Amino acid sequence: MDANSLINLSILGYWVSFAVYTSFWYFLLGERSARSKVLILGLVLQFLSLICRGMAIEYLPLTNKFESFYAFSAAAFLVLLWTNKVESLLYRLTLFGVGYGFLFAAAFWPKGLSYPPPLMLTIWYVLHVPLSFMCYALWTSSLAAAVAYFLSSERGGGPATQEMMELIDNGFMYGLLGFSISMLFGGFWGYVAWGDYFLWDAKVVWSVILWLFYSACIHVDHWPALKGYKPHLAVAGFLILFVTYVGTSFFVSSSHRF
Amino acid sequence: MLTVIYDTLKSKKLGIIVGFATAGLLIVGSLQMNFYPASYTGLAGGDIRFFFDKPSLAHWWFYLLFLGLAIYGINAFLCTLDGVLARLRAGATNLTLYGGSICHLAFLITLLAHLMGGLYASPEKSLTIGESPTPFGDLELRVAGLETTEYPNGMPKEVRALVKIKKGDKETEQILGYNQPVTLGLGVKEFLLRNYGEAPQGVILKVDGKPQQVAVKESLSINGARVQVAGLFMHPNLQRPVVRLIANKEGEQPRQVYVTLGEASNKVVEGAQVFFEDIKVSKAVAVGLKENPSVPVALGAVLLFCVGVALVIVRLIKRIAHQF
Repeated sequence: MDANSLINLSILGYWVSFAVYTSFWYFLLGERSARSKVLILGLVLQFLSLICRGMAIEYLPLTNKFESFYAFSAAAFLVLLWTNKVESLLYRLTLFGVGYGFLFAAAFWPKGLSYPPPLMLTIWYVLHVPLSFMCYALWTSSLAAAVAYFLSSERGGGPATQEMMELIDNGFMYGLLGFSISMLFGGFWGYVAWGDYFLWDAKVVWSVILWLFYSACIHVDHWPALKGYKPHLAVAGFLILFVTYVGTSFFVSSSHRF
Repeated sequence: MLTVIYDTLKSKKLGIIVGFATAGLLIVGSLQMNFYPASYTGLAGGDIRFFFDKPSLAHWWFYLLFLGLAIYGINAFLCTLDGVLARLRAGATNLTLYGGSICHLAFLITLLAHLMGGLYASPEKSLTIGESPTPFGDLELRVAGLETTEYPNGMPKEVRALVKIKKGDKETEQILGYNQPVTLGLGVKEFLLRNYGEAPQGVILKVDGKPQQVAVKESLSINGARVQVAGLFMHPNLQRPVVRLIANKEGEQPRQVYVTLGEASNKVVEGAQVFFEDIKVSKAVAVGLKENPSVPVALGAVLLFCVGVALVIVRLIKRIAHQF
């Protein structure tokens, strides 16, 4: 199959997965096993579609905005699948809503064949970007838990609140752990591509901001009076994440604007 | 008083405050750099000398950030030391408990690497390396091969230049490409590929009908005079290459002649008819040389961080396994 046919197949895969995820709004309200099945179906379609794109360009299909948003939505849905046991509808709605928002936004970008520029052709890029997306998704999970916490009728030490606090903590911790490793890969990429492991570049600076912010967040337990503010921090963190991921790619000049 | 300062500096609350504050200051700095770029003209790479060489009120966020990171570093060091000592005193022998502390130590070294790199890294120097040896400091570099591949739409995909590096009598070779710099001295010196193709290496001059090939900056003999090929330019009006020849004869003033490419533009040089017949080109790469003494330190931090993270991951796996 030639590259253009593969791309057309991937676009078809996008629209079919889009339809599946649209139906998921209904399944979100339903029982866990049905939710899991629909989510798995959507993810399989999404990954097959991305694999087609990857085969077309013979590289990791993260070369343009469409692929970037499409892949990030997949990361958010993966985390949703991982936390499928969580019974809070508000949590699921928020996490799925963010993922769906990016999936929807992807529709507005050109979906044609785009080859990666030479600077993307390195193992460090392959390691750095998908891992960053997974961490963004984990922090989005913290946001979803914070939203569920704020909008839940049960506030205080109840089990639902505790579950949300745990989700926030897990998002902070696993997100930071993965992001730290991702930053190392990014540093290596920066060194081999631009000659510096740190640059005064908007995307790099905001990534450092994200890292510093969530590093402080995971230490908040050492200050008991601040513990109750974790949901607020999760929301603030997501705003920083949004600027880092979307803002620096669209509104400011950055070496990461591919 | 000293105890109060010490207790404050090793306070975890201070660490949290400084952590959020540094994130906030970087946000301010990033917005300033984006919306007032004129104040940051000349800021490149990870340089921090810029902020000290050109002190300005506009950079207030950086001075506070610098102070904040210094406090953060001291705080992280003291907290880590305190934590490690407490664990040792308690007889904690489980190595995974020290993962976080090792990560803190890696963070400290990273801060030092940034400081070192920001202060002592050299600005990028440009250099063109062709097939004939190009001297650079105590090195001689030359391109021994250049392979390129393209995508079906003609966009460049891969560039692989075989670069021979000679130091004294010893010659080594490395592949230079995009994302594949030639590195020396544990990565302190780095040659980055900036462009590739062909570069002029010399000219072919016809002197009284006899072709002679001369490299730029080299000389040939015409009727007893040394005539040097001093430069090769593009004529601004004619849009054709021009070679600058400087004739030196003992006891006489040097004479300068410009000869444009083509038989019609021949000139008399030291009594001989000279015309500029052709340009000799060779495969070449344009490289940027970066020197950053902090790279080995940063690599040390990476190594330490990997150890710390591995220990943290083992601990997390144990915790998850315990839950199940």
